[in-house]
Amino acid sequence: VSTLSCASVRELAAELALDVLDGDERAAALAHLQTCAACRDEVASLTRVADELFLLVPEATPSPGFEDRVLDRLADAAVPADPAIPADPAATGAPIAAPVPAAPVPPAARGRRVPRRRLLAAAAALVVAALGATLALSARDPAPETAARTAPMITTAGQDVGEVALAVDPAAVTVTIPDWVALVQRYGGTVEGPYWLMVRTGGSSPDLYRVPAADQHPWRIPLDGESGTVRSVSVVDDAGTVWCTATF
Amino acid sequence: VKGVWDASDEALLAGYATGDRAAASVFVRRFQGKVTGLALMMTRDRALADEVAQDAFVRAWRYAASYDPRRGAVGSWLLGIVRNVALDRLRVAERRPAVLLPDPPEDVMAADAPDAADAVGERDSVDRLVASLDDLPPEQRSTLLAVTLHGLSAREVSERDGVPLGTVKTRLRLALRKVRDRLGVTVP
Repeated sequence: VSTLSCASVRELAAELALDVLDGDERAAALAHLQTCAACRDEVASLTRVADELFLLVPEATPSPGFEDRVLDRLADAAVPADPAIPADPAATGAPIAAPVPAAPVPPAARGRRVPRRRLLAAAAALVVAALGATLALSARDPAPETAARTAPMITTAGQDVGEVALAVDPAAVTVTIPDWVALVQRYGGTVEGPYWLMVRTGGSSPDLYRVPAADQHPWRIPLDGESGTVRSVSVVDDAGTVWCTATF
Repeated sequence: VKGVWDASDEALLAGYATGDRAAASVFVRRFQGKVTGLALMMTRDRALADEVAQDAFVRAWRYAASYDPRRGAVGSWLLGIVRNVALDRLRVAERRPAVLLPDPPEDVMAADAPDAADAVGERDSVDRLVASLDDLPPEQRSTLLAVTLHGLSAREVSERDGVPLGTVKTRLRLALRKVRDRLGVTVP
């Protein structure tokens, strides 16, 4: 339980916004934010300013061949290591990038206007179809029955915040995000949610599971299908915004 | 590729996410200067900065679909990724930029910052930011930029500048609030 007053939290708000506060002070401040909308707004507004400061970064000339190296890495990341897969997707008209997790339409959000990024995700799904044969590779050599796969949970800003583990028998997913409450509060979300676990396999649409309450963390959720075909697991909110994703 | 060069940052990121090679090429060219600039600013190491910049573009591609325009511009989002990647790399290397940064980070106020902004259509925002920072006392400005753009902790700034930790924290707080108030930033 936070023992900090609003005045004390306002003193720490800038450090929270800049992500340089840690230890007991951070924990106490975050606990206070959980119950104080005014202080949450204070931190959120300062966080926006901190992000804007990146605009000031002066440009630097990249090393020769930088662009090619990035595009090569994207191509490598998109194409599974298999001799049947062309090494140069550009030469075959294939995309250089694999599809990324798409925002789902949770039940409560259905009927709303579909955000543009969802349309983009639909386009990405077409890419999945084009690579259908490729994606089947993962099912050809399944993991041992008792094995579990793990992958880091990465936020929208690229921060590693936890881990997702996939169990095979019974099929289940365990999501561990130690600072979930802090993460939600930092970006203006609500702890109560609701939040959804979006599990994407090789299929055309993701499966959605309701995320348990924050105090039931880590979240262990039984899967309807096999865990061996899971390609990504994301936490999304009721508006369809992706908060973090683990890619397998 | 006609049209791609003129695409908005958002549209370009969308193409980047769906795997369009032309869009990816333009996206990298549009932002590589700033991405490299921040990576270099934080690491002060050319080779490491190059790796950080590459990693950031790959990570951005992997999570492009999760970009939310309500939380800021594409450039800010991408540079936030750069900052996280750089901090991760520096932690792994057990090398903090504090020991590699002998001078106060006034270099971001150099004239090339607005020039860079022209390339991505952010000139107005940069001008307003620069004006806001100009209004700050030098020690507040230096502290704020050291933490935001160089990735230093308050303690590292304290050690670097030889001032009490409490003073650094106060400078940070006052600086960020002043800039916010000057820019009129509110919660969406």
